[in-house]
Amino acid sequence: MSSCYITGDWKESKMNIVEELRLEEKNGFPNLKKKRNPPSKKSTSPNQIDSSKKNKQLEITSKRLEYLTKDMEKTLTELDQIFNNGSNAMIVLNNNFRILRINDTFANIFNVDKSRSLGKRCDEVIKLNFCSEKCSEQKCSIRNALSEKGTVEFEEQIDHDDGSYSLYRITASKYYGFDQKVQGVILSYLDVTQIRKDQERLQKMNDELLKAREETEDYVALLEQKTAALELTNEKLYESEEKIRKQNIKLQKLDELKSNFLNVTSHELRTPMSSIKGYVQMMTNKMLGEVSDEQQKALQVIMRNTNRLDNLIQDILDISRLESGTMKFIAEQTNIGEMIKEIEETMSSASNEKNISLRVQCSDELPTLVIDKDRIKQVIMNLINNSVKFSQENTIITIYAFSKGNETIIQVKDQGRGIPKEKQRHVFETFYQVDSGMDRTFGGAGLGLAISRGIVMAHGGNIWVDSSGIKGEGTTFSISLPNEPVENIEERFKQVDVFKLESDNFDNDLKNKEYDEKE
Amino acid sequence: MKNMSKKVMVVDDEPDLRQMIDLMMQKEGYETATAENGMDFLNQIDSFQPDVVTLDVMMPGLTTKEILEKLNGMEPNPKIILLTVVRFSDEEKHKILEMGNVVDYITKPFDFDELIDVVKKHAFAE
Repeated sequence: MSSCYITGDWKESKMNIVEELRLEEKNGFPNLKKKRNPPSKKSTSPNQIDSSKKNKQLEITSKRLEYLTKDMEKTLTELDQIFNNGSNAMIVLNNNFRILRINDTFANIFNVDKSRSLGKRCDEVIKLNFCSEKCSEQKCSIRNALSEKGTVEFEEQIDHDDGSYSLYRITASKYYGFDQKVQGVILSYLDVTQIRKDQERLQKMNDELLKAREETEDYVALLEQKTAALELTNEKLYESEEKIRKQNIKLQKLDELKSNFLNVTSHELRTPMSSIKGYVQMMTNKMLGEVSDEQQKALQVIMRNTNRLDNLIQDILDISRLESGTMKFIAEQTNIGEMIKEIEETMSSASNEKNISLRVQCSDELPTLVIDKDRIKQVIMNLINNSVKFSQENTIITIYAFSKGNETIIQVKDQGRGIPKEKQRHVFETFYQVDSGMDRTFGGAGLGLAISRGIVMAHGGNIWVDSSGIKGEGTTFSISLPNEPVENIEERFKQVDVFKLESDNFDNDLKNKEYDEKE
Repeated sequence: MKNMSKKVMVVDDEPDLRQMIDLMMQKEGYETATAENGMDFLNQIDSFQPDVVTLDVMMPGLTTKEILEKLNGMEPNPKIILLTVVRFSDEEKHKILEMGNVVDYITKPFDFDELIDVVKKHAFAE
């Protein structure tokens, strides 16, 4: 039976099958009869049938055969279609590795001439890596593989002339005949090129994803590191802040200490002065008995020097307070005109000694300013005292007061010996003396103008000097005070560093000119 | 003497100053007593019964505030003149004058006549 399969292709062999079936029908084909025509069971005994009946029987059988043949042909055509047009390339080998069948898919893919290939040994038509180079009937890799299993799967890459390749998953399986014996091998080629390519692409994507994930993990690790570093920095910052905070507290304590020290010093220095002055005044007033003229003179000297010492103590305390920012300012509504009148009354006796005439030229409309009246009075009286000190006898000192813009200007002008231009910049510096060293003819510690400047600056104003430096032309000291009432004046005073402005000290030439015109 | 009917008590920890003011008040005709700190002053107040007290604001022991608090509601009820080295703002002046018996203050170093005037003013004021 097997020999007829190798003589032609599937369709040709169909007729052989039909022939064979006819022969088998003649010899009796019980299964088929039973299957196809069960009612024929009744006529199984030929002895009971006469010849005409036999003929009729033959005719029926012949018709049935014809029907069966057609049915068979139809089935075979369908099988043929399925075999040839499936997506798998298929090749069927007999037990001697001769090619029994090749489907159209196989022929097309591998460019094989079907009719020429049939009957040839498989290694003449197909080359498989799976097979050893020297294959033989005894040494067939596929057969060996199949000896243990019913089916073997392997993959084959087939390179094309154009450089591309195809990948096939080949399934080799035994096939069996009617007698349940192995008739040969079917090789079924499934094109898995695209699947493999997809797989590779997926793999690549997966690799990329993995790489990206690794990179992300690295990045996360780096971020964690940086976060840790930041946290460390934060801690350090916090520590620094803590340190600064502690230092600030320390500084505040020091500040308080300094302030307390100044208060205590002030108290300790001034209390003895009170005793001295009290006793001197009592003696001068003869409350403690009669005083001779000589004693009276001595008491006056004591009193004058006590006052001088007292003023010096006051100046040193003031400078210290200004420098430490602890000077107390008491702001109050102050009418400038009235204030200048008070100053005039107080200072008239001071100018009497040298027969210096003190004059006042005030503008009619002077504002009321929110200032520390006592301190500003202290400044102006200090300027007048300076003028008296450096003026000749029988000269005039004039106090001017006027408003200009949003400022009030107060000036003290004398007819003294003037201040050389090159020294004008320095007169407001602490302990500065226009006359220094051996030439000194006038007393004073050089604190008055520095204090004056500090007080004026603390008020948001300015102080400057103008003098031609020519003897007799005198000197004019000016202060400016802002007209706008200052809110929270104590706080503002604290914020002003009154000794910091040495550099912009007296670039006031412009300003001087402005007010000179007014003069 | 002219002010004999009035009593002035001088409270100061500085002996020279205390004696000086004491002498000055005696010369002015007041009956005087002295105390060297707040506690000393409070202990004597009942026996001496002062009309006017000159009270130094910076003494060891009790603070001025403590002295004034203890004095508050006590009999007798003397007028207190504070002797201070610091200047007061209007607000502070107001606060000081609200503190019990304080009637005035003098800033050191004070003038001889100023002290006499202030004491006289309050000693004879109703």
